[in-house]
Amino acid sequence: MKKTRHPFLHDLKENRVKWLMILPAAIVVILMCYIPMGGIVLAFKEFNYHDGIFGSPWVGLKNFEYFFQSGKAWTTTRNTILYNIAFLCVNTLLQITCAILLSELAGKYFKRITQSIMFLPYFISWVVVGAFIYNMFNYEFGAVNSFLRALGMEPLDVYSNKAAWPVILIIVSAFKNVGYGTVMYLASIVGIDGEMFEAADLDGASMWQKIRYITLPCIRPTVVLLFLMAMGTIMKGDFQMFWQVTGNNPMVLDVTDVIDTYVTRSLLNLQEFGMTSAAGLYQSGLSFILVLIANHAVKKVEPDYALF
Amino acid sequence: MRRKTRIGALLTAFLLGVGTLGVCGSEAFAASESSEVSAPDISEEVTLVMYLIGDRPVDNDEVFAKINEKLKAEINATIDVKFMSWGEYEQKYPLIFASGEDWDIIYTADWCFYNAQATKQGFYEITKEALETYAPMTAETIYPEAWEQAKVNGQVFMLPMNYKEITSYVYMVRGDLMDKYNIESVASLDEAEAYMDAIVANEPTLIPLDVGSDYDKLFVFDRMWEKANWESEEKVSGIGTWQAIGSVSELDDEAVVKGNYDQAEFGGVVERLKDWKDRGFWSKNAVVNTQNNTESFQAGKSALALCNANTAKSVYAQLTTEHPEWDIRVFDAQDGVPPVLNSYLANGMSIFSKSKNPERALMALDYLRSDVEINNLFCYGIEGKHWEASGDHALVSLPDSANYAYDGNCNWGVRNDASWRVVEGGIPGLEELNNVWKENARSRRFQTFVFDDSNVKNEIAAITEIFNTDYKLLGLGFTDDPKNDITKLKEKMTAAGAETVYAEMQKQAQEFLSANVE
Repeated sequence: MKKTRHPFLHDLKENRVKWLMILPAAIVVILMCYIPMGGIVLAFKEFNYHDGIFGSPWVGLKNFEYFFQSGKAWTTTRNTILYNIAFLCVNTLLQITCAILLSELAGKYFKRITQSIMFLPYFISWVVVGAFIYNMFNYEFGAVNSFLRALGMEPLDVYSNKAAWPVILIIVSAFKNVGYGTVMYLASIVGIDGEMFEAADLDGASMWQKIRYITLPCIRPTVVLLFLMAMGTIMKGDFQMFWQVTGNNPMVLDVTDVIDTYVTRSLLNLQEFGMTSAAGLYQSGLSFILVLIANHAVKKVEPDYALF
Repeated sequence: MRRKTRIGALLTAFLLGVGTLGVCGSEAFAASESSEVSAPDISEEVTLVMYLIGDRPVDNDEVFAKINEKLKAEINATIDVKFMSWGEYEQKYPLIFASGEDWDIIYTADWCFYNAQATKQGFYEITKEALETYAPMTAETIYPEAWEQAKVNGQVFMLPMNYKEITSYVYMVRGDLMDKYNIESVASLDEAEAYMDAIVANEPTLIPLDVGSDYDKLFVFDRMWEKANWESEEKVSGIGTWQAIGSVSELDDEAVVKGNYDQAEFGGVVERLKDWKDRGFWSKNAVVNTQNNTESFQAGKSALALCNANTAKSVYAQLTTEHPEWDIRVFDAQDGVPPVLNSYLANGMSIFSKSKNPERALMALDYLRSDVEINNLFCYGIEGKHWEASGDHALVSLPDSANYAYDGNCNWGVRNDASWRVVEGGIPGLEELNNVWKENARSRRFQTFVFDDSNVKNEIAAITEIFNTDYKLLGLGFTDDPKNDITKLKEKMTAAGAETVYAEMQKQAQEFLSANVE
């Protein structure tokens, strides 16, 4: 009898194409996320090379103390969250605006070319962006200061100015990521049923009204979904960006240090693998809680869009 | 739902499987390692991977081909050299221990992770028996005090250099610019100040002294700090882990350890650094420098370099051929402060604890250190190509030494007084300077004191963060209000547990003193 078959195996056979399609993603997640998770034990151990990760002696919660003792736990957590919220809001807003603008633009080739150019910065390495920033803002020979001097104005000392860095970081983040997001939103705008726009045209709707009443509501699921995905990484600073763009500059660390850069820096300075894993674990823990809260909130407002 | 739990179970099983594999692996390793007490068996040919710090000299492979020829004949092994550059060694060094990479020998030193990696069991323990079995030449010649110094909790993990060395600093100056601005000499902080003033005023395209990288963030601070303390009544000098910025008066038998920020001279030094920074002696964004000041000087971006005498020797040789028009001059930067007589641990070689052939590695080290031919090859290059003998204890560098500089290939760990040769010629006047330095050189009172930080690990971790940020900023003069920032530094240090660390240091320092009095 067919009914007695193992339900999982049965499903595997029945939907084999779908399973095959999910296979690469599953392998990546298992290799890159689940297996390294074993390393979490390091946070509770005093690591030495000889005994390795699993053999080193346990030390309980001792590794967590330094993170709080150094007074860095609060600043880095605050910076991580605030930066990510700022990136999320600014980038999403710009991405949607650009996507709508592009979709309203006439001229197929112009549209294509603009889109491609906007996408390009996404492929530039952060190391290179860091070099841009250095060559623009370096005090003695930077482009900005050379320009100011040529005009007879006072040069700016950007590298020791704490107020400048949040703005710079938000701008570079937009520079790198807006093009990428725009394409995603553009795809979901293109997916909107054209008949709705035709009907609106017949009713005499203005362009603004079409955007307000058709485009925006239709891309709402995409917005919510991308927002939720971003919530999962809100505790995760874009390491490359913070490290390379600021050049790990100690003068402005108060406003640019995120958990990731802190963990890396202290690992390099201390070689205490346990302590830095502890900080990493703290980050993952908070991250997990935030995802649960965000998902819960979305569920309350829009039950259909929640992730789980 | 049910399907989900099944997948979960599968995953768990899989994870457990991986976990067990890992455990089995490490047990097998431990077993194989404990059976090492047999006579040297060299029947199997091995290639040993050796890590050095620096950039690969052009003729490195040629030199090592010669070394390997002899090693192959003597111990059936060859050495494959890998390099990590000065710019990245602080990051890369600890990582290769953890990466699982297969390598055998590495350069190490008290300032280059020796204690940190030894306490984490990163190095293979070298026992007296192993030394006698596998490295008989070294066992005979090694200075007993060097062997004692290398002990960490009673175990030796390093073969320290067999060489008495002093570290002294020099300024390298552009002679063409000195003449242009009528500067006679740059042999003290005050004279350097005058020179740099002239540069700032007249050479807008040059940065006077391009310090600020990880390597030299505290170079200028150190010069000023040591001078101020040497001239003071108290004779304060550093003690313990240097990131903990503790210091102690050498005259104080109670060994009261204080933070540098609590010492009398600290405020004045920071004031002067701030003044120098404000006058543009180094870049306003020096803290993000990735190039050190000597590299900058060589590249023609700066007008003055501050470095130790050994670095100066190799840089001088290069620059006089590349840029004779610069007319490089070298001056004493000690400014009256006696140079430090280095501990033997200032250079050494160690074997990786997970090396597959630790015995053979030890044999190879024995030849690198004690075999005159191999030692000379490693230290100075090929005779007749890179150098020529001049008597028994000196040599003349040949033009090809640009491709394999004298004493420049991170060979410092195998320096051996028995086969050492000094360069004839080289920097004019250095020989006389050297004699003055040697006469004055002294060991600091707590030079060989090793601080055991196991009771205060968390505090040290928190302090290291402050050392690397706030303290280094002050050390480059980046402050608008020195008094206020020093108070802030003190508050932060206290919050991070500095008092506990200093109390522990004092306790151990007193034990150290009473042990050394006998």
